[in-house]
This record gives sequence, C-alpha cells and structure tokens, in this order.
Amino acid sequence: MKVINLHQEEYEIIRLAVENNRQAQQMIYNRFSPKMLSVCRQYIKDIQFAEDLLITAFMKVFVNLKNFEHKGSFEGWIRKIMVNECISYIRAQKKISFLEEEYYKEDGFNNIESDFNVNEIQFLIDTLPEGYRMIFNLFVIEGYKHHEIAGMLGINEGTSKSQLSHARKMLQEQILKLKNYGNGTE
Amino acid sequence: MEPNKLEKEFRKKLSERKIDPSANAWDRLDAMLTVAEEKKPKRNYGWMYMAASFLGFLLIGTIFFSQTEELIDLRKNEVVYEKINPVPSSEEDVVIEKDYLIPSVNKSEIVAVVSEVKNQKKSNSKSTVAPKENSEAGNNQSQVAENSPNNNVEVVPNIVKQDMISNDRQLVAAAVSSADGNVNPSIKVDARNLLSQVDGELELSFREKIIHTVNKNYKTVKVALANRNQE
Repeated sequence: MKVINLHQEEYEIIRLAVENNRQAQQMIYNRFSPKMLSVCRQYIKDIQFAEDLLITAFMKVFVNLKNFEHKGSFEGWIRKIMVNECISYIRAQKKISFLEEEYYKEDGFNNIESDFNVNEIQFLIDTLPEGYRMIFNLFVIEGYKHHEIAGMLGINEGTSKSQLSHARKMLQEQILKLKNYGNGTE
Repeated sequence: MEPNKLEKEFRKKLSERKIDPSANAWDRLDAMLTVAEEKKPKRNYGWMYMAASFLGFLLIGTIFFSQTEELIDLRKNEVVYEKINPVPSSEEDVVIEKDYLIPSVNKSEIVAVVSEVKNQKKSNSKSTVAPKENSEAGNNQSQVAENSPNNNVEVVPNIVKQDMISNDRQLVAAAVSSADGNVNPSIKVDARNLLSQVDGELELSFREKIIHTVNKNYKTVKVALANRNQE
C-alpha cells in the first residue's frame, strides 16, 4: 500500500509540475538534486560548474516533463538528462578527443581489492583524462553498453572499448600508487 | 570487459552519494523557469498578431470588392430613370404608361397579344390593300349589282365591317409599333454603354484617390526624412 501511495504521489507531483506548479517543481528538485549533483560531479571536477550544469539540466527536466511517459523510473529519466547535459558540456568545451583505435586488451584489474571511501573513489576518477573518465563513468557507473556509448559520443565501438581499457590501466596504476602511498612505501 | 568487483564497489558508493547544492541554486532555477514561462505567451501573441493582421487585410479586401459591386448596381438604376424621364414626347408618355401597366398583366397574355398584334399588322398591310380591292371589287360588284341587286345588299355591310376592323387594327398596330420603338434594343445598348463609361470613370476616380493618398503620405515621409537628415 505504501509503495502504491508513493507512486501515486509521484504521479500527482509530476502532473502538477507539468502545469508549472512551482511548489511541485521545487519538491522534485529537492528530492533529486543532491543525487543528481553527485552524478554531475562524476563528470565535472569543479563543483560550481557541476552545479551550473545541474540547474541547466533541471530546466530541461521541467521543460520536457510533459514527454515523460511513466514507463520507467522517474529518477532514471532525470539521471539520463543529467548525463547527457554533462557530455554535451564537455564536448562543447572541446576538452576531449578520442583517438580512433580498434585495438584493446583485457587487463588484470580484477586482482585489485580495496576499501576506498567515496571521496577517494572520486579522487581516483578525477585523475583520469576527460575522455577516459567519460567512458569509464558511462560504462562502469551508469552501466551503458559499448555500442550505446559509441552512439552517444559519435565514435566507434572499438574506440570505446580501447578507451575503457586505457582508463582501467591508468586507474590501476593510480590505485597502486595510492596503496603504496598509504602503506608508506613511496 | 564486464565491470569487476572493484568497479561494482565504485558504482555502489558513487550511486549512494549525495551532494547538496548551494542555497541559491533553487532561486536561480526558479528565475529561469519564470523567464521561460513569460516567453511562451509572447510567442503566442506574436502568432495572434500575425493572424489578426491577415484577417484584417482579408476583411478590407472583401469590403473593397463588395463596395464596388454595390456602386455599379446603384448607378444602373439611376441611369435607367434618367433615360426614361428626359424624353417628354406624348407618344412615349403613353408608352411609358403602358410599360408600367404591363407587369400587372400575365406575361403569356402579353406575348399572345403582341403576336396577335404583329399578325394583324401584317394582315393590315394586306387589309389596307384589301379594301381597295374590295372597293374596286365593290365597284365592280356595284356595277354587277346593277345587273343583280340581290348580291349588292350582301356585300356592302361586309365592306363597312372590314373598314372598322382595319381602323381598329391600325390603331392597335400604331400603338404597338410605338411601344416596340420605345422598348427598342438600341436605347438599352446606349444605356449600358453609358453605364460602363460612368462606372469606369468612377472606379478610376476611386483608385486615383487611393493613389493620391499613398503618394501624399510617401511625400510627407520623404520630406520628414530629408529634414531629419539635414538636421
């Protein structure tokens, strides 16, 4: 009963927000903005820029809210808009250039075990170059497939795979560095 | 290439993370939403203005064309009266009276009467000759009658009757001929020509008026601009 009530409540809030009810829009913003700012932060190092993108993306959420068909998760729909906004921003800044290469190899990333906190994880991701970070985030964190990533970024599927391979390798090196630094060996 | 254990851990921890935006973030979004809402009705008004101006032009166009048609009708009527009235001859007066009387009678009857009259007209031309023949014949007959008095008694009343009938027919024929002359197509053609001429002149004057006003406005604007440039 509680789940049904929650669903009905969300449905009603969305309906009101479509009608430009500012209170309903603020309720949606308050509910999802902390999680969505975290998503934006995965792609954008600067928290201020990330917040700017959060506002722009929420604007798009409210403008396109009438197109939401209540088929999937509302949070997932908003998250998708956030990710697309971040990718568009990075591409507009021309901070990334993907080297078209089909070659990639599996690495021994599986052997590493760690107990990093979220800030350490974010720090590790931030060390990656823009292109690697974007594909790592899309594949590992968001769960997109390589052909989906290739479609989103306008690159070959092989390039996406090779970029992920490079990102993993670089991340592995960073993790080892961090571990060695923690152990006091370096 | 599937995410490994470490990556799954990354995913779990990052998806659980929450970062609170700054306090003024909502105010900025609120302002953006307000601006977007204000923009929407403006666009609608723009379309409405365009539609209204289009309808206005359409209305002006229809009024313009309908007005010219009305003017033509009015002038037709006026000219018809003018053409009938200024000829005050006695014969035509009679004809006009006949014209006014005709609509009260059935058209079929009129046609029948006219056809009869025309036939009589033709027969009159014959009958005008006929009495002479009759008279000649009468003379002959009178000459013969001296020989045979029974025939003379029968012929004379016929001649008198025929003369009376022919006189009546001649009168009717004269009246009809004058009426035909009045409803002559030549007068109608003249009226139409005059009408078309008058209409053309009036239309031209109306157009000229418009052209004059446009020219005047253009000149005033031109002068105003020239003055402004000089200043």
